[in-house]
Amino acid sequence: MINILVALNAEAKSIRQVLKLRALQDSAPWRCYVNDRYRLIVTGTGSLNMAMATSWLYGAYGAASLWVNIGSAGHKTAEVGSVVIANKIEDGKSGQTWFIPILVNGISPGTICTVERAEVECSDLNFYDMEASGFIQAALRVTERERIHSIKIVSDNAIERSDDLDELRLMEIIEAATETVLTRLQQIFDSLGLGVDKTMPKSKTSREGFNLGKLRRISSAQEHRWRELKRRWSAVGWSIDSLRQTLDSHKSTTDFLDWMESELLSKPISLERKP
Amino acid sequence: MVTQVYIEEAVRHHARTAKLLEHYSGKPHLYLERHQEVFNPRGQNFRLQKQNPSLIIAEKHGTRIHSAPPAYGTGGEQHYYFSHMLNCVYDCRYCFLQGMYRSANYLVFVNFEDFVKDIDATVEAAGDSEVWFYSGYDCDSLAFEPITGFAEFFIPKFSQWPNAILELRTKSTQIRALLQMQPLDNVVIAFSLNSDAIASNIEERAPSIEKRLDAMYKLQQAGWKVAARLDPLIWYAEFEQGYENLIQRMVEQLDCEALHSVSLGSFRLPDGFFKILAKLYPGHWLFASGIQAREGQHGYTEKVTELLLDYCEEKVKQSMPSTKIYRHQ
Ligand code: SF4
Repeated sequence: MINILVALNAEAKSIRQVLKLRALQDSAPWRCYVNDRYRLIVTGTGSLNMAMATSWLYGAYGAASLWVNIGSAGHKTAEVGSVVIANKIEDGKSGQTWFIPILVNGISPGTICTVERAEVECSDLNFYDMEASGFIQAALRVTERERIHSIKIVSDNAIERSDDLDELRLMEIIEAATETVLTRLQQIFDSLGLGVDKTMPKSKTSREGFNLGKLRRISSAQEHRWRELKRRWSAVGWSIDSLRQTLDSHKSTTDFLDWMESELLSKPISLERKP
Repeated sequence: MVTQVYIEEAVRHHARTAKLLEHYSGKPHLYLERHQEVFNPRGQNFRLQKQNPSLIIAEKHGTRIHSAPPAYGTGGEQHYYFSHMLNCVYDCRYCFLQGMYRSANYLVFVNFEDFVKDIDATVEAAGDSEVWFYSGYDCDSLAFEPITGFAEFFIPKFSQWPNAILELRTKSTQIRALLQMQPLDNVVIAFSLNSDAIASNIEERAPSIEKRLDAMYKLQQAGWKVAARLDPLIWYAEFEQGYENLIQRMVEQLDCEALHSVSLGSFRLPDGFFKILAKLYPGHWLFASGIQAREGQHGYTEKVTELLLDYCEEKVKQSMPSTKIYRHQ
């Protein structure tokens, strides 16, 4: 699941439409939209709202493979409508900084400085927004750095000033950039997919097995040992289901676990017939 | 391969930084106060970073020369290691760096001259005793050579310290700089070797055994002292055939009489590192087959360890004097 956090309805609208997200009924106090791959939440403006919504989303739905804050940002010279991915987020008030690992080649990263109100005195080194620092602080509590990203669309610059930006114009800008934003999002997602372990047991194997606790009296230490031995058993490519037949030939749970361990210690795996 | 470059402010104008940046001119650059801001924070995923690491250019402060772990010795009295780089371009499944660092980014220290000063002081303090310096503990010594110029810089320095020996540990075939240099008697280029099956299964991105043997041969021909490190030996059903074949090829392709040394060690890791690696790769057979915890380490049972070491030692002994063979448990 990819979680997308957006401050304003105007920023969320075209993303919702392109991704064909449907509104969730019980997501008060936030507006939440979903499909089977994405979950989008409209957080309200400002760092604090963003942080609260991020924590709420985790509390309500748990882990996600990616957490992405999408929104608008100002820059002194960057072209309106251009898209930037944060590789550094700075909190304008506290001065605290966070570096974000970018695992994708060939994109244009930049520093996002989070401020409390639209910045008049822009430095041309930074992009300015009002949420990213709240987002990263909250997201870092629930997931890894590589899974947290902030993608911003330039909505104003020294020529097209933020005072002149109304909701309609903002929607237009976001709509025009939505395809690029979603392409970047996919690139980030794919870059994480590269980390999938080719040696992980197939999902069939990990679902395999039986509940030892239902068949035998088992202490919590034995339960822990059983889980670890089961992991090792699958990793060498042996069938967990076949263990069930062996179970009856062992008098006690300890006997059974000892037997599993001794098998793992005495039978090397064949690299010619690798799992 | 590198996605972006972080640069410590202190080395922003360093000549070696400029050279590195020239190499990565198309990559985004980010300046930071201390490399720890990127390298050390919690909540980083080593495996994800390893796919597309960043480069961090920094200055090494504090202790630069460390006492080497006991398993590093092949003679001499004093053993030290130093690391101009942390992390590696290769991706060996057994690599303890995965358990040691939170980040998989390549961290390169550019203040080589400070390392030299510290090596000089260590040699001075050792008096007449032989003192060994190892590189390749926290990285592969040569894999980044065309970019860092590490060997090109450090090797000539060792001509001034006859009682100091430098061992570069590597799997790399980046030997061009060495072939262009005058070989030094007190420098050993030690190649980590394994069976073909292990190299192709779990030494991802590293050069094939064929290429490593070829690089060793070229270095021997050029007059360099070359050593073989058969470490970590891995237990698998076909290990006898695999290691016999490796040793056979060493005999055929290298001048075994001239090899500086051959060391043997079985797969083992300190408990803490093993647990991190098994968590990173819960489905990998390497962290499941034959492994037992004993005396603060995870490794093969005593019986399997002996089996592996005895078998390989026996094979190596057939073509080398036993005084050149070192066994690490
Ligand atoms: S070559 Fe050495 S340092 Fe590099 S990944 Fe392999 S074991 Fe680790």
